[in-house]
Amino acid sequence: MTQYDAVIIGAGLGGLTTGAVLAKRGKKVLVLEQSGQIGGCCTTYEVGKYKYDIGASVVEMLPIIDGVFAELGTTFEKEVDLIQCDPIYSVIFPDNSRLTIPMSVEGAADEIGKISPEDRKGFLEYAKTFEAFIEGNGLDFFTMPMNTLGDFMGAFKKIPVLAKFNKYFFMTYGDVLNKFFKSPKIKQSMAYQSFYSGHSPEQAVGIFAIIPYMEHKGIYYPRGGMIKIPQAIQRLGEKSGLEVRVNAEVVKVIVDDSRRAKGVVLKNGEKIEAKVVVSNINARKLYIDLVGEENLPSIVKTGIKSYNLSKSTPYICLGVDYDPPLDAHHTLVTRDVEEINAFWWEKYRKGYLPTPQEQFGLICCPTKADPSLAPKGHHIVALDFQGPFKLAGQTWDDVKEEFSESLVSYLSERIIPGLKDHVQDMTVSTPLDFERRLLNPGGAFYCFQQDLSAQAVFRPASKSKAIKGLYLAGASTHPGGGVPTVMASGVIAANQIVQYE
Amino acid sequence: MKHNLLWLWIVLGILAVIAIVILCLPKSKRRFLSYFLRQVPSLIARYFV
Repeated sequence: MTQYDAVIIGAGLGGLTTGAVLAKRGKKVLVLEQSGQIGGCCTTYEVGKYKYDIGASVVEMLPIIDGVFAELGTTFEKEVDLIQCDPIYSVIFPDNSRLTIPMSVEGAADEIGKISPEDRKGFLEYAKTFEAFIEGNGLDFFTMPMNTLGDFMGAFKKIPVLAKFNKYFFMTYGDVLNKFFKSPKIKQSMAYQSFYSGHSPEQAVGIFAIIPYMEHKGIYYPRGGMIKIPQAIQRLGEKSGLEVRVNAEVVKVIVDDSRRAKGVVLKNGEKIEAKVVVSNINARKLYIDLVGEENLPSIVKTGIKSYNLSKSTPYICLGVDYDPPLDAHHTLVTRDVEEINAFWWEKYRKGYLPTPQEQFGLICCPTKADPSLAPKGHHIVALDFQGPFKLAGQTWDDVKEEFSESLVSYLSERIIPGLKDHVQDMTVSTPLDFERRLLNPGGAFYCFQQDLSAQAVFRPASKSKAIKGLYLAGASTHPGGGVPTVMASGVIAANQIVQYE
Repeated sequence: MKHNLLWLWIVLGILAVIAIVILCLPKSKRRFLSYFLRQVPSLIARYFV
């Protein structure tokens, strides 16, 4: 039997990154993926004539991704054909008026100034504030292990700018918007991005208000689809001997009497031994189902069960035979910020499925940047709107069709004229579909809540505290969900394996 | 006995002040605080995961 230095559960971006970095450092590594395709929440499916990204739809925070590719001895731009998206996003307000935000900070300030002259100055101040965070290497916080209080305090010592920004860790995203902006419309235009961290503006940690600013540093789309990123990581890993097996579902982590991980068991009964096991799956599923409660101290069982699952979302991909009237790669359909917060607390968290009239969300038209995803003259329109995993009194299988058709009809009437009449293909993934496809509880993209109580040292550690030789990558561990952050988690896990094993 | 009752009144007074402060907060802050306080008991266990 071949013994590996590391066996990795899950070929999402985090797992592949850990595998590729370890392989580059001379380790013998095997990545196991339960589905037939790599990428996890950053992947692309071919459905008939169309290539749909189901999950991540763009990349930003490039300095973090550049650091990952540097670990692999190359650059992101060399390995993936990146298309810059400018304008970076467009906003459609409840009164159907629109605001299109260009990449340039000055240009964005001018557009904002047309709606609210006093917020032009506020935007420049906001940009200056978060630029100082970036210039002070604040993003390094997302590339450091955060397993202990010592790690956390050490980060503040190594990155002095964190101390200057500590108030933003104790503010909410909404507080930051209120600090810099006066106009409700301008606040609306930046409110939805809090959901990129998985929470409403009132619940998201204030430091995440850097997200709209980071988009001004550049957002990019990989030509050919989001899957080009995991494919690049796999390709680089394989050059160093990395092995990747798909359709290989892990059902058990082998743990010996000294609570040390020794390998994994596949669904077909095959055992694979390894010096260390790396998990890129939801940490609750890892600890409760694969490791087993019998191998866990009671405090760990309590802790892992205490997390709320992160939000999921219904995702509707449309192949259309016309050019939809959308101004950018991403279009945000917004509502009043207080309405968004009230919806989150009082409806979403109680299983209420909003009517189309109550909806807000994200429309992605990737063919604006990359026409190769659809036949000539056709486009793809992806709808990422609100719908909780657990519905009160019904299931997603019951409402999938009606929900999708009524939303498309509504958007066609109000926001994207002609949409309904030009649909050639509609592929819908509900939160329940995501759970089934990814074997991820609740279809939770970010695995767990990402508020202050589940960040850094309060998120499952990348070097397991319960099981020796077990490491975590992916959205379950620091720094949480998102393309650049899960890639960073992969490097963090690889570094720790090299350091401790 | 009187000494014990004095402490009881002090504790009740502090709780009353906290309740008044919370009630004076805007609805948005109360929602956040209520959510966050429910997470606090889990923090120690989460640290060991």
